[in-house]
Amino acid sequence: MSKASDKRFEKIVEPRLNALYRTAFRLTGFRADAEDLVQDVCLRAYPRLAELEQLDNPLAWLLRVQYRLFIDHVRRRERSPFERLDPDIESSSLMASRDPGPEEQASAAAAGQRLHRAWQRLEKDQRALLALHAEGYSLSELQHITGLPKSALKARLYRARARLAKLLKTKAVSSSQASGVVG
Amino acid sequence: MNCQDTADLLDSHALDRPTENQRKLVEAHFATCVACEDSWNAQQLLLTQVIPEPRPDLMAEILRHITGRNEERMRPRNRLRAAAVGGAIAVGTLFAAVTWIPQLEVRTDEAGAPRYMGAGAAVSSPTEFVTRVEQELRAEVFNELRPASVLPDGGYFALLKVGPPYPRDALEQGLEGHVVVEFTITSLGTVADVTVVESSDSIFEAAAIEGASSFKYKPRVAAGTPVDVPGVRNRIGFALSNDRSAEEPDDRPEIPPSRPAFRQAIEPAVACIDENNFQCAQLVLDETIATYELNVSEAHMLWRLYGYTHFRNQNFEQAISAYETAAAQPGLRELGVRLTLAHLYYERQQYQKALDTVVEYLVMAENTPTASVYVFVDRLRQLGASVPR
Repeated sequence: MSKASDKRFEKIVEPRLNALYRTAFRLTGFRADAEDLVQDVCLRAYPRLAELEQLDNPLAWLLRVQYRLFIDHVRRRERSPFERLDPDIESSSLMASRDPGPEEQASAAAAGQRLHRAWQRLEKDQRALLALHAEGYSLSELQHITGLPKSALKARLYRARARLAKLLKTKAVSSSQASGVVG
Repeated sequence: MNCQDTADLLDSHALDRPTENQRKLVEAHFATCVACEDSWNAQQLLLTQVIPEPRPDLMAEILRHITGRNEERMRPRNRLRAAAVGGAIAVGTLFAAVTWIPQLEVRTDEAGAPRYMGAGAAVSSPTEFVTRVEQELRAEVFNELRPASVLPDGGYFALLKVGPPYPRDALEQGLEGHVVVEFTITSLGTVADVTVVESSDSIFEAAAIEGASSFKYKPRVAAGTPVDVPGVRNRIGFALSNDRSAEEPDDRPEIPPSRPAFRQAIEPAVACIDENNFQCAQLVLDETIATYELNVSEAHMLWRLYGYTHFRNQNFEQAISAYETAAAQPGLRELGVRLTLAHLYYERQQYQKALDTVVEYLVMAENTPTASVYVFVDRLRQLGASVPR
């Protein structure tokens, strides 16, 4: 492919890279995996540059590809959540966004860890829905991205939230128990 | 304020930054509902998660990676088959004929592995069939399967399977594929806990799950009590046209798919049956038959629904006659209904008729019949039915 198409591709993707990466990070929980996922999306998108340029909402298209890739491939690279914990998960990245005092900061970090652990045990399609939803996409955008009918979407969101809430409540388990168990 | 309201507010992001008033309202509800409070807290936790910025050179890195491997491309997508789809996409409402690949249920063992070994390609004649059944039953099936779970003595069998609408994206891209789902047949004969075991493309998964969730079974009965049967697998195929393999002379006319309006019209019938309101179901079906000029696909579906209604209402003779009408629709290659019929004949102790129907099924089946079918055949033969030469 030519330099020119690189530029055209960059023009489409660059402004949306942050949004793609944010969702990817939520989905995977790890920086490196998020980067891999975004790269995979771009690999799929690049040959269809001409189509992409015609779209009113290329982000929705890219997110849809990302959603499917995640659902398809996450299993392959799924590791035990305890083999690898990026430092940014442990410390800063999951903290509450408002300005916390030292004590709150400690509890926010703990909450972040709790979320991370629960998240890694959540089923991938539930993770995918909650991640997109948490990114602020509306139900009709979610419908477009996931291809699910609205009623199914609402039911799944409901179940996913309930499941996450349940996982958040359960105590941490040892890594041998946790690896690969979705529940 | 109730759970539904709370869920709606959460879904619509209306609670992301609640007003004082909203907070009071939901908190009043939370006082009586821990589940909603937990869900709300979970969503809040997600919303406050801080996401790191991507590294500044990510775009450049990705482009380097792409140009480094621009020979390696996605496999080309199947092109739309013009004959199959034609102008229908323009109106955007096409429900392509979903082919049910007749892979019937087989129990899985404790390790979760499917047990349908021994069943090879479909047989071409009853004689070949007998030979194969004998070989395969002796060799493997009886040793491997737990007969109680597949034999129709109190065993489950499918009463109603309606193909899901073709996923729109897949339709637009001209994609065909399949999904293998696994689920529990509940003691009520409904389907629960559907999971995807395998799929050719995730684009089909949602539709397959929706479709499988609507399947209806006669539940397995153990010691007089209906019980759940977990681990049942089913393969759902998605094909854009009902055309056959290239070798086959295409002398059969194209089968029109069922229309969305028709599907909508019959939808309430299933809901009525779920509530054991058979009169209501019958009314819906009678009305549909009076209003629509049905094509064969639709007639087939409608008569299966009649059959299911009668079965649930314990009018077995009427159920059989309705399923027979469904099976008699010309040109259709819906095979599942024949297995349903065979099981019904069996329950009425019409063993020869049951066996004839299974043989018909096997002769028609282009895909691999599962071991449960062979076991069924053997059972029927033990009961005195014989395979015609």
